[in-house]
Amino acid sequence: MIRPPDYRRRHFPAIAAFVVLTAVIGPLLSTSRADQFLVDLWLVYSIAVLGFYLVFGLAGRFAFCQTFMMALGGYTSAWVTRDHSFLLGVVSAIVVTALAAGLVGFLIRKAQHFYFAMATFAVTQIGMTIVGQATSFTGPNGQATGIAPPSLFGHVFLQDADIFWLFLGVLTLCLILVAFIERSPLRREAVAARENGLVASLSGVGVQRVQLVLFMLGSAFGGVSGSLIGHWQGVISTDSFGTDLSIGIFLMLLLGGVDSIWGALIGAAVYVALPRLLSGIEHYSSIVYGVLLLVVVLAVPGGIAAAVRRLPRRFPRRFSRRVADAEG
Amino acid sequence: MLKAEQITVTFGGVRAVSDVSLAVPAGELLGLVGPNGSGKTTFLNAVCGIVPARGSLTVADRPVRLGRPNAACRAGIARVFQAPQTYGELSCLDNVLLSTSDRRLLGLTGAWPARPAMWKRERARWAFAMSALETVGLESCALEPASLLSYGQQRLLELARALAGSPSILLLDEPSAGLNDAETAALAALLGAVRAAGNTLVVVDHKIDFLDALCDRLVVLELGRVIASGPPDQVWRDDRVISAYLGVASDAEH
Repeated sequence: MIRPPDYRRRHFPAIAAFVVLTAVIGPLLSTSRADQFLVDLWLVYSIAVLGFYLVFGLAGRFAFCQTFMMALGGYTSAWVTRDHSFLLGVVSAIVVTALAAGLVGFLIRKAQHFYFAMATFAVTQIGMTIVGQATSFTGPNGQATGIAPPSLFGHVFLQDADIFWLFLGVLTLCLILVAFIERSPLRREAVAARENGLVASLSGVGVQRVQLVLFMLGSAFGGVSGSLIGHWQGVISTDSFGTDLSIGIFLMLLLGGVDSIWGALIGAAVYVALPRLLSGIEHYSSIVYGVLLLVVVLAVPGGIAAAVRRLPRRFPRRFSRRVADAEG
Repeated sequence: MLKAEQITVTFGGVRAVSDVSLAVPAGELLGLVGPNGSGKTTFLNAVCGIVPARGSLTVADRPVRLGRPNAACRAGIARVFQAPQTYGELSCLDNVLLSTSDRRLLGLTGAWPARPAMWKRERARWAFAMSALETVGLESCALEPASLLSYGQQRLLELARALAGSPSILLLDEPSAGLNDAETAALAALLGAVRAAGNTLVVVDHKIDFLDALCDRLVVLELGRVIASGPPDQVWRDDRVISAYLGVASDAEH
């Protein structure tokens, strides 16, 4: 039986290797509180960028509202956990963000490319303003404070070192869910809908349905990420999810690579680690970001993940050429 | 099988297709010909819902809503475009799988909770898609990205994708364009075999020998209207067809 190439990729061994590697290296990297914070931030941002991968990388919809979905998830979870458990808070964040994305996505289902980006940007602006004003839902001045720390099965995650394991667990679950999609007919339908919707619909692909489902799912990932950030930090405000982060999410996926689930993780790592690595030259960090982005766009359009994927193919060729030269 | 009545397509003030009515019985191979700009491709576009059109369309006596590609697909209309429309990033097998007629468990339900059932269906779909690739002779390229195929191969891949949907009627737009004589002969043999398997086809083309050998009947369009219809030898003797292609004698004298 011949299997299509997507079913031949080794997603699950790669995820297992990633989890083991992160579980070993993560605590080693976290030598100070600041470093532990950055590692946790990387994991939680990765969840949001993985969601954006589904929306933009897979479905080809440039949604500028991922940070709004993070904020909505964060506030929803904070509001629910005033009286209920952490788990119910996260589930509510998932449901509310998926429904919000479903409503927005349905209303602008025919908007393409740039117009979809503009419409979702407008949704972010309107949504953030409403959320900021709805003080009974969020808190004074749109600031939710005193959010309960995450707790599961009687264990309360108070320390950042503890939070690391929670975030790694949630990210692993998200990776597995996305890997299941990568190894399913939904992937080929999404690629077809993204590349040529008209021909896809003539073949029977429900283009709008596929794109809406992935938009809802990706937004729900954003909701989970926002909810986790809220419970981790204990406080969130509209400033936590500003335009900087909106552009940041896009930057992370672009740097990491839009056509692979690993691009989201690599990009988030670079984005989070860069300010720390540039601690001597903070004033030039914008220039470094800009140059890095230019390098990626010009030299490795597929992002860092694509460049890494090409390495094994490039090196043996060089090696064999050298051997041939030496023998010749 | 397919019955189109008074199909009209207008672009601004231009009537690209004007009240075209034609019926294609099941199992027929119909050739649609006409000079450039006569509305052949636009008619195919109207039938498969790509352009807004007026008129009525039925497939197997069931009405099909015009202007909706999904409705045309559900009615069993498949299309092969003049310029191959394949997905270069996807493998040839995936390209063919897109038009599967078994559309259950293709979404999130199949990806997550119903994985075992999805796998079972997928295996059947892979086997069926492979048989479509074998029909057009591309089985050895099944796992290659479609972008690596030659122009002629991409056209065959599109034909395989159209066949894999088990369509009621297959519309082909200039399938022989860009092919050399040997490739055209191979394509004619392939389309003959497709037709012999019980399929109904409408072929738009400019190569007269190719159409004559293949088609039961030709319909000739000029300026968006049907000017002749019948067996190939009869149609080519029709004065209106001769004047549409060559101009009238009085034009030459001036």
